[in-house]
Amino acid sequence: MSIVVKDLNYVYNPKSPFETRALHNVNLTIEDGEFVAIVGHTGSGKSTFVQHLNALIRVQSGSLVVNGINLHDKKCDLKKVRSLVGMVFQYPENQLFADTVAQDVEFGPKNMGMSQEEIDVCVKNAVELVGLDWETVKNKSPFELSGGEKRRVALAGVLAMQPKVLVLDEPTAGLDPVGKHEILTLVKKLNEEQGVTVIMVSHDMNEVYENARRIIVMKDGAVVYDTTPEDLFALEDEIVKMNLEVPYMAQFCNYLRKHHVKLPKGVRTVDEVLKAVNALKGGSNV
Amino acid sequence: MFRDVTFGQYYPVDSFVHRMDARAKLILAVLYLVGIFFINSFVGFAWLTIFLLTAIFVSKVPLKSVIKSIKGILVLLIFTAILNVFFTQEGNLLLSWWIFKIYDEGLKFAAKMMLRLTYLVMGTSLLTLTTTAVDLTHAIESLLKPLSYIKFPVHELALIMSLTLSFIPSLIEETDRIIRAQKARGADFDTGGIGQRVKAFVPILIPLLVSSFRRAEELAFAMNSRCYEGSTKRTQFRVQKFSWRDVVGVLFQLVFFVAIFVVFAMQDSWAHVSWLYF
Repeated sequence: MSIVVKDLNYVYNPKSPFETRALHNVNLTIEDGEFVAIVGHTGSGKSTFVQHLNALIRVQSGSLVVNGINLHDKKCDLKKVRSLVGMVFQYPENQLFADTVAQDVEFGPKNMGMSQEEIDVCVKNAVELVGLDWETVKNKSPFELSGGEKRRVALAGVLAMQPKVLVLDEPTAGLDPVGKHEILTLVKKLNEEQGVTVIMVSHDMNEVYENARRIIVMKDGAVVYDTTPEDLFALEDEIVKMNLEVPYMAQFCNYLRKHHVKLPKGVRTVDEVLKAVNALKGGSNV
Repeated sequence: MFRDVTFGQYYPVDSFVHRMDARAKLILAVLYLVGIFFINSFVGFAWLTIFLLTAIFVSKVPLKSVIKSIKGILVLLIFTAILNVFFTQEGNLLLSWWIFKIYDEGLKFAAKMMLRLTYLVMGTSLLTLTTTAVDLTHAIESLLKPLSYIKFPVHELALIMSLTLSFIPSLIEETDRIIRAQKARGADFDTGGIGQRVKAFVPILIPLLVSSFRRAEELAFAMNSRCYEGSTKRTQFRVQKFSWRDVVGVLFQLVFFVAIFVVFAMQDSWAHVSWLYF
């Protein structure tokens, strides 16, 4: 069970003066339980690509199989795909509409045709999962909440459908550092503890570097790199050439390596680097 | 879902018509609209076809794009045609079945009505296909200028118009985004009875309403913080200027429409020239 993309192409407004090619021969496979980040410039095709994954954009040419469902078939089970692949758009708080938080979160599960008992359980779990107190929040209007809380309610609305794959389009955009950290911790927890496949579109390379285990770099609708964060950001010059920034920790590691500090492969966080440097120094734990 | 709306969408090419002054085009469009109602014969419509095809050719807009604009009024077209066919009871009886009677005058009248509506929409969409919304509002503001002497808020009106127009694309985009977000949560807009379908739009309308209010407020703040004052005299970034193109364009259209008005005015004395009034 995985996501298999073969020769995916997509053109907006074909045969008109507004014709633009958004995807160009995309080929990749995403296994269950992966944490993948998709990065690239505005207009590189990231959003178009991720919207293919739950059939919001239908396949024009090529093939796309998600957990055994052929999305390139005209008649595939859309409801099933959409409950399987949860999609959190940019600024998801803009989609809130119901009178109370509980009603908003249950919108998805209700559409999926779950029974009322199931819905109640899912909704409560999802709200608690995103770190909100169920009793205080359930009868509040979503419009009374703060920005960060609204976003978490919107996230709960997607999580309540219990997706196996979670697609997030810039989930931390416009949040303060605390809000960012909370969302990312939550996403990481889902990935590690519940085995949810996470596909995250992001412009923040530090956040990508810390969380993702695999990075896909897109440019002009094509995949140009598909590798681990450590390998990708070791190519500092190439990254800068593509107008992407290099994460601070990667810059630091690259600098150390350049000055003949023999860091082992795969060190990313401050703690890991500290440990590696100490080991090189001969074991003293300063 | 809304990307397919092409009615009146600006078609970005560089042509004679695109470069004409928006005010000239606006006046000519009004002349065109009025002129159409003075045409009562198939010969007149043939004459108008020559004009319209030439204008479309010169504008470099593909004929297909102009014809596409009729799609929006197709239902109206068919409806008026059917009404006219059955309710005109003049001329020779062609067909009679149960309570339905079809006369040749009815057929002729329906055909003319359809032609009139079609040409109406094609002509006006040629205006919007070759003129940006911004130019169009500036043109309206400039043409309504005389009204400001009787304290009519022309500039404010133009501002409201241009703001409305400039918000349409972003609102369409916003609607599109909200629809996709709700679809991702399993919302279904295509099945169920009328009641269910209407209810299905609540999750789109409320977020849309909330965001339009937010946008309006933000815009007001932004304008205030840059000291916007509508009443003071403002100059325009793009100055509108008549050129030789406008003279040529106006003369060209006048040739056609003067003929139309003359034929209309002389219909009593020229009635014996039957082909002219067929």
